[in-house]
Amino acid sequence: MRICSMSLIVALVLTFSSSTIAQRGQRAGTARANAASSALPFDPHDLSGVWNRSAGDRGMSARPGQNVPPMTPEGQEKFNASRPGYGPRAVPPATGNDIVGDCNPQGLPRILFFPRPFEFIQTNGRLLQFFQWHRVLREIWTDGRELPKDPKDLDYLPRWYGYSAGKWEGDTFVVNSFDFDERTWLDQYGYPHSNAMRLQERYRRVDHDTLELKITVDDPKTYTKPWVSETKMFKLEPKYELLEEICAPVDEVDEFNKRVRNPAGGVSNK
Amino acid sequence: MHNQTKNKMLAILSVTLGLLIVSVPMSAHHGTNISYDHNRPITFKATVTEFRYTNPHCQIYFDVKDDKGDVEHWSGELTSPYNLTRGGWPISRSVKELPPGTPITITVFPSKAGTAVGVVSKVLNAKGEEILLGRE
Repeated sequence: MRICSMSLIVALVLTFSSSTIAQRGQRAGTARANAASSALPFDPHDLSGVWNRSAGDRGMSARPGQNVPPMTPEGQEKFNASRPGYGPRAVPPATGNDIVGDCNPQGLPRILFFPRPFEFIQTNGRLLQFFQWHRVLREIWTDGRELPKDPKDLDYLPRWYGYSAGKWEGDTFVVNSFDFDERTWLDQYGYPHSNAMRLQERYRRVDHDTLELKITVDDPKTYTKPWVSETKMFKLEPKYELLEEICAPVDEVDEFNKRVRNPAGGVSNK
Repeated sequence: MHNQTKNKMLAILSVTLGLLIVSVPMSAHHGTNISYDHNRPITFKATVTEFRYTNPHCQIYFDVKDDKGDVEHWSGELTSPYNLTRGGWPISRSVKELPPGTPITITVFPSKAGTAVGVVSKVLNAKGEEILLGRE
């Protein structure tokens, strides 16, 4: 009897996971094919090309809730008010308050965690980061400028994707950004930030095919200490051409939410 | 059961379970999973009424007839056009399979709210071939 039930469980698990294994098999095959190209020579100061997420979680840390610095009272209050669609506090998106569900921008750093490709385009004085998702084009100034002392010196509205300046420190490309719109979350798990957030991204091309990224969030209004992310890994996809993947309210809010997401969450009119 | 065989099976079980757990975080897009009951797949013989290959997620609408002949209208959530395209189901191939009136066998994880909405686990065409990309 025990043998029977055990075999049944194993058979069931194998059946349900077979496609996962197949996908993994394909990935392993691709990894082998890439082994040759990862050994190709490369210029560590050339980041251009299409990069796609290959490892790491979709939040700041390897798991939601891990390594989160203690929050300030203001940060804690905002965190308690967020109702994400993912992680241990997940609610059906129809009853949550993730602004991305209505096609608002993911902002930074969240868009970097979303499993979609982006392209680095190096131009004179700027590194352009072109995200497939939403077709966001972000400019990182590389003309030697530093961030102004105070975001108020920019004399503009806070930005969904911040204001960024980058420079090389050895073989690491370091991007500092500030002046963020505080309506976004750091990640899909509802971790908040304020408009005082300063973000540092450290990109390093590890080999021909691999880019690693570490992010530090420094936001004293929300967290009592800087928060350093898990290392996120990206793979070069040299032949990939970015698709248009726009989250348009007319598709998402008017169609998808009305016909699928809201009824799935038991919400009839939203 | 011999201890060795038992250990082997336990090893297979834990590895596959591990793969399943690891594979979950990458499978959802917009916090989709939480809305649906993944422990209660339901399979229907159904007729396609509409198939939408659009962002953010593709959608399949279908009718299910019960024993009395009453028709229930269901909505099924699929993955994104991007993921379908990368997985070998670009728009032309997908749309060709699912014009209105197409008979299908569809397995969904139903909404926890008890509405006639589900996230699609598997779709079979009339020949019994699996089409599109499902989820576990």
